[in-house]
Amino acid sequence: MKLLTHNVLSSKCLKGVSVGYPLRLNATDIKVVDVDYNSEFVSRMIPKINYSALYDAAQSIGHLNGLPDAVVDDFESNEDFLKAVHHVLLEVDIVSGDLECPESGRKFPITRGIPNMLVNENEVNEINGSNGYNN
Amino acid sequence: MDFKNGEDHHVPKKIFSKQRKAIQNISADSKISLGIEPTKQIVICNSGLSLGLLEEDVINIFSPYGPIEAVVMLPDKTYCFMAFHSKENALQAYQSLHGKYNFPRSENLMVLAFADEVPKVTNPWATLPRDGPPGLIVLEDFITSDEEEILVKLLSWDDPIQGQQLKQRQVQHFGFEFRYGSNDVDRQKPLAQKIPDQCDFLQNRLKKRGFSKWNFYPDQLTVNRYLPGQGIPPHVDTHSVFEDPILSLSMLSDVVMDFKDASGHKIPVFLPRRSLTVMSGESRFGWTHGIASRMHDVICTDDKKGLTLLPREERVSYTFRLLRSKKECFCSYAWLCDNQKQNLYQQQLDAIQLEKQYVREVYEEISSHFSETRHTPWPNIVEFCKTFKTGQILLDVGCGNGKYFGNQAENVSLFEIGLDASAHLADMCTKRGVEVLTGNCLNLPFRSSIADGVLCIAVIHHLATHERRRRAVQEIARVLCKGGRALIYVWARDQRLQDKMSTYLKQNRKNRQNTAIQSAFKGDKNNSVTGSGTSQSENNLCTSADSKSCEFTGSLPLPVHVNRTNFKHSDILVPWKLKEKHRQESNEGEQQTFYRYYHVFEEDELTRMCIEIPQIQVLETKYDQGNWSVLLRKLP
Repeated sequence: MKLLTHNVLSSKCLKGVSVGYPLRLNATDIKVVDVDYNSEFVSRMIPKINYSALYDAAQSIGHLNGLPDAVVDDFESNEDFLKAVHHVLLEVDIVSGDLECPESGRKFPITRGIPNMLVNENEVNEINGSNGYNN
Repeated sequence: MDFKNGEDHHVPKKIFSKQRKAIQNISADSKISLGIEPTKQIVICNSGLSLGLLEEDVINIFSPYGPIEAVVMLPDKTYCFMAFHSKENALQAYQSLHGKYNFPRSENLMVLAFADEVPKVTNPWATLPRDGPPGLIVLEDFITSDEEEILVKLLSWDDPIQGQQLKQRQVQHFGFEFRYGSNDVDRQKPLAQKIPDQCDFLQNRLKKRGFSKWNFYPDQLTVNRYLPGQGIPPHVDTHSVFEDPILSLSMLSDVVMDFKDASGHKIPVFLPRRSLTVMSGESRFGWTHGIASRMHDVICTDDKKGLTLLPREERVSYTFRLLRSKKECFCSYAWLCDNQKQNLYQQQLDAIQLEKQYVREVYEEISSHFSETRHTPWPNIVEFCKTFKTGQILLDVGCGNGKYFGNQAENVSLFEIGLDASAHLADMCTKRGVEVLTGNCLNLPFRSSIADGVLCIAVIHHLATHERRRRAVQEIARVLCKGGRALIYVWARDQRLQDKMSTYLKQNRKNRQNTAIQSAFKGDKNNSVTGSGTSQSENNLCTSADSKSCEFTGSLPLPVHVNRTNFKHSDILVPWKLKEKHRQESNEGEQQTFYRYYHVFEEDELTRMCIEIPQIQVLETKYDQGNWSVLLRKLP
């Protein structure tokens, strides 16, 4: 799982969870891979991602590699910055570990690079709506 | 005073760059012109509903600087707006708070800017009482202070036997006990404690206030006691247990009760101290009601012009109800009706079981054979993939073995994420080096508005109720960004539109002979679009007699479809004959057959379902080789 994927994952579907973002990342096996650098890709991705969540996730697994803590003003033309973001977004691959819901603590295991985000029907809100309980 | 960068030395420098970016982003997102030139409207750039900032926080923070005209909290946004009556107050608040104030429950410093206007979201109070939930009546000053005192003093809250401590409040029951687990009462077990005589004035008082139409003799009373900060979750009083109406006396303090209808339309209702609330008709059956757990309520100021906070105080309510003689309800609000939901609930359980046994478990079993037969991407879908641009995010919901990955236009670099419920199929995707996760299409594990495109090919027809199929489309709509597009394919019930056989039918040997289309078919044995279903390889084709295109088998819950024939039913099981070499245990000479559940779609069924979802627009509906497809766009 790439940190870009982590950046878009949420556990909001769980019952009683209101934001479910960002998921806490615990990595037990990390692999660094080479991915072709495309400056246009990275600079277009920056406004879409939640940068502070990316920064925190990279920091929590010790793979900041010089990533600054905020988007630089001239990010579209700052190659050093774009390359640092490229590396963290696409080249750091979590092979195993888990993702943890920040509110409920529910853990989603990551094995062979695949986060298991499957939830049981009783963990999520009922599809036909819910009437809560009575007074 | 001038607010150019760095002018105010108490504000950290990086706040200014944050402000500059926020002004850019939020102006673009909200279409409201923002800046640092003072106006009476303020945008709070770095907190809002999606970051846990509440309306009451905004009022708390800003009210010291002057009367507040409006607070506009936008759903799912990381910013929000507020307005003062005067520009001077807004300027004062800006000078004191911008870059200096720490948000509650957070380390972040507040970033502010001025706005030309606030978004037009109706102030819920402005519509009251005219548009309150139909059937809801609040009778003010229903009891006197003396009566209030008598009723409140009747109860001892320290006596552990008399009261029951719930998570958020204390309760006592009279007449019958309300059972919270099952949300009902046991009619056979009346309580020794009857409704106190002190409540007998109720009927006469109602008559006196002009409500003689309810000849109402309640036999059940629930008394609730709320301390500041406590509340009750949204609920509806069990339809099949209690008659219409429900009466509730509010004592010791005012409170705001939130009513919500099926569409999510919320109306806050102010319940003053010593008032009687009559919930009848639609308000009793078709709306939930609840009290938020918070320390303050947001209410209108006395002049009805502004908003202010009302601190919560201890509150006691007496809720009077009359048991139905028979447990039943025939209201027209099935959504909230326990009696009618019992059936829906059973359907839901059946659906979950069916999908588990006849979809998910089967795909795990047949995954490797299935994957072998899924290698030719369908042209219309590839064409859709080619419309995306560098830096966009494309999700494939139900991605199978990932055959639609990497179909972007030349020199385009997309970020593609696949999701599938099958762990085996997800593993196959990883082996191809594509980004994938396991998950369910009914609860996409993504935050909202992150995808520029969504593919959902041959997935929704595996869901066993209309509600579940609609929910899957709703989830797709949720994760799409504004203007984002989705392409959905499902299997069509009609395999011969306008007398042309679908590829699926053509693969039946008998049909091939009959129609002499061998030439068109050559080398084309695996091109069916129904990624997860229709096309087995040729040596697996079912060649049963055409006359019998489905049959019921004793042990199976649904009719079994005969492969390569037209569908006789909408909900069916489709056999998958597993190739010898993929079998886990080999019973020689026997072909193992698995059954997958399908709901095959009628003409327009998919389109009609998509139209039910408000945020999306159907751009195109197509019949494509025995499948219905829709192209959707999320409204900007």
